[in-house]
Amino acid sequence: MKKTLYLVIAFAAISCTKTQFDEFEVDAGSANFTNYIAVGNSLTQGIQDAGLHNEYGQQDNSYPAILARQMKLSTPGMNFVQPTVTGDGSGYKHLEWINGELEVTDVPADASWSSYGDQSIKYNNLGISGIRLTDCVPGTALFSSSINQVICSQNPNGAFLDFGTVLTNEISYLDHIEASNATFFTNWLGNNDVLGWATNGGDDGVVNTGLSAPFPATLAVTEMTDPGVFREKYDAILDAFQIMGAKGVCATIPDVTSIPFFTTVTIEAVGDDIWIEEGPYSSNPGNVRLATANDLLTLYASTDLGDGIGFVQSNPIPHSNVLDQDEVALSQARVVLLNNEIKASALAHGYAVADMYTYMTELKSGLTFDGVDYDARFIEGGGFSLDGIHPNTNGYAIIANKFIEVINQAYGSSIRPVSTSSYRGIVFP
Amino acid sequence: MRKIILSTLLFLPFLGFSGGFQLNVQGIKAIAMGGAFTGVSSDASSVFFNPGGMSNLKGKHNFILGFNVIDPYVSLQTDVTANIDQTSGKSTPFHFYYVGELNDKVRLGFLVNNQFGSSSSFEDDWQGRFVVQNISLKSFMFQPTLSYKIHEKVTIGAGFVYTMGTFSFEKGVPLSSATTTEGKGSLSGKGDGTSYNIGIFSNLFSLKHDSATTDFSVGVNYRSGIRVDLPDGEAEFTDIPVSLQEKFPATTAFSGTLNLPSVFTIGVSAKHNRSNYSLTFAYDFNYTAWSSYDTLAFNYVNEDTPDTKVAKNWQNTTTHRFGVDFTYKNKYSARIGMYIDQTPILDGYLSPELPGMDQIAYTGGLGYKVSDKVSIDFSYIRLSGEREASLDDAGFSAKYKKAVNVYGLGLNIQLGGKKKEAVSVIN
Repeated sequence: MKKTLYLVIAFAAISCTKTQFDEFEVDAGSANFTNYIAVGNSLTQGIQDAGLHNEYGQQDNSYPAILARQMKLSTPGMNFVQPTVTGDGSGYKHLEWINGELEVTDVPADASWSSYGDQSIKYNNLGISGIRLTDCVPGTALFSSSINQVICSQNPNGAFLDFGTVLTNEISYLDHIEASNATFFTNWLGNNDVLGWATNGGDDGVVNTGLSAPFPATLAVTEMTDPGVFREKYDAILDAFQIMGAKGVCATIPDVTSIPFFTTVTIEAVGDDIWIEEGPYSSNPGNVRLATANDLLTLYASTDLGDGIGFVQSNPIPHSNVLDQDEVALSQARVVLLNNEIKASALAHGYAVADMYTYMTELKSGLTFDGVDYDARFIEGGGFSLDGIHPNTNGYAIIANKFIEVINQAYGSSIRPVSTSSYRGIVFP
Repeated sequence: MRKIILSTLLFLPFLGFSGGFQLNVQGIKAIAMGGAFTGVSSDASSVFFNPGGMSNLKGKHNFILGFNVIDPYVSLQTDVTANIDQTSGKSTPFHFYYVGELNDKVRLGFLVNNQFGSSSSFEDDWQGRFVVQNISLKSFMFQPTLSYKIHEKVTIGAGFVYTMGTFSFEKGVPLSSATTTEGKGSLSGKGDGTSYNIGIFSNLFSLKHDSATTDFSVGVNYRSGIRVDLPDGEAEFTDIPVSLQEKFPATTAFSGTLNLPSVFTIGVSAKHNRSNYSLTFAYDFNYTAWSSYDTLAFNYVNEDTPDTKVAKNWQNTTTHRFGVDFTYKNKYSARIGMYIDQTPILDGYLSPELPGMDQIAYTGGLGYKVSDKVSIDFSYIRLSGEREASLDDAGFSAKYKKAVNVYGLGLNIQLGGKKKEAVSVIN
């Protein structure tokens, strides 16, 4: 009796000051994170500031790397390996404080960049900057697999993967996925099937192959992908994961026109009339006219304007630095069509979808986490890096949290989100 | 007693419960009785609780000196962090009261106390450091007071209140450079304000039985709101990248205002006197106009620095206070009480430094009359609670657990009073 009384008193005394919460229990749910494979483009590879670099852990904090660290808390045995750059990597843009002005300047590529990656290592992050979904999967068209081989093997960001030799031993991105033995995946392919075309001002980016007939003499490396073709190739990738028994999440493509790359250089900001040239897909190709608020000037147009280009009719901003209103409509419509295919394909394969299209639209109007405000303004907005296209580390952490939310919902797991404010934003001089 | 508990329970469904940053520790006897003292007014703390009650005091000079140790424990859990403890230390508000008799009808009073205050801090690298790192608010009130007996049973009193306030606030600035991961902004300012404290007290009537009397009293008190201007605040920004130091300079002045709420109270008490003991029941109802705390705004002198404007949108609150005092042989006292307190803070506005929640606080205390001149009192408050809410403007949400212990000690000195006057003869 007395003992009980002591216990009660002791308990009461402890409970007086005990306010602490218990540690989280982190569980993988029905997912298996042992071998997490991330497929995608620059966003997945961890590009920031127009390059792949790791000065302040930029590449180390790609969203797949952030995700993997959080998964590892539930699955201590897992490993996640990225093809990490050394030194200044591919080169990148940074801010300098020059004569009392903030200026964006270039850091050149590191000498090691020409031998980026080790093809003998099986990496978990297969993101390759610039890659389109259509470049990943051989299609039915003539020389389709060879065209993919040429495009992929000439992309320096993809040098960590072996794409074989054209015509004799072609290895596709899909082949690498099939060989990955993934138990879990994230698939954020598709952005470049619109984005490259848009950032080129509505241009197909035609390049010479230097190869002789019957191989095509030119390739359109930033052409927008046809929705039907897109669906076939998306299905092929999800088929591959399904055959492995992997679980995973697909992500939709953000509206390419909402990024600071297109929203920073405006007539209002310039405060003058600006002459532009319409592109090949516009209603009047080659037509020179005054820009309206519906035409989007790219960040590159600021260089033109700095050089005095665009202020007279005889010297307009070239079409490749303008996404005019027709091209805006075309790219926006294509994103919606491709997203419909992504959602339908994921549904058909039983995979969850992270709706980054909607999420990035929310970001544009402003989101706040832990007292830090983010929106889609260039530099000031806080979430985008200096290229105006890719997020900064802060932005990637926000994206990682969205993936975590969707993964937990779909697979009953309890991976914890990260504290976004503990990641760096823009590095100011 | 049982009846009181019952009526308490009846109130529960209709109430939320308080918080804010009002310090309900203004008299050791009162604290022990759940803070229900406006209709009791049996010691010099009347100068605060109800200047109209000052006429109850017997001695020529009555002094009270008291202080409290507030020992708070607050923990948070967010989606990201399993447990975060506030690192706020103990705070020690004090009070001094004086009531003196000028003549049969007039009494003079004076007080110094800390009626509002709050201080919270967190570890330097905590998740919400861009919301708040440290905050501290202190207030000192000085109040000369006069009461006048307008009727045998009715006294009115009024005091002029001069308030000095200090405020400091620190939080992270989310800007990084090659050498820093973030900056910090520190604001500090002080200011003053004036207000008044008026009250009316009536010893309504007494019931006499064989060897006992029961006295019924009522008091009404109003303390007006206080506008404390902080005209010459100083803001300091540290670890700011060179390129942004025009926007966040090393130092700049700022101005702001703190609006402290008015408090209206009506209190009743019943005191049952027998030859060797007395038993007092007291109830107070507070209406605190926290809607004065609508916005917290700071304007910086440096034009490039973005002004701070935080929507608080606090709501007016009600508090119910219940207390019982048992005094044996006019020498030994035991007191218990409770109060049911409503938070002024709506969901969507709950900031981590001050996680107000509806709550019930339990109080108790002891008193010992050392001699005719001197008595000492001890009081204790225990409150705890949990809440889950967000601060929408900052994109911060958390679960909160709070436990607070408050220990109070008071010294009561009475000089020049008529000796051995039984308390039961008050009327």
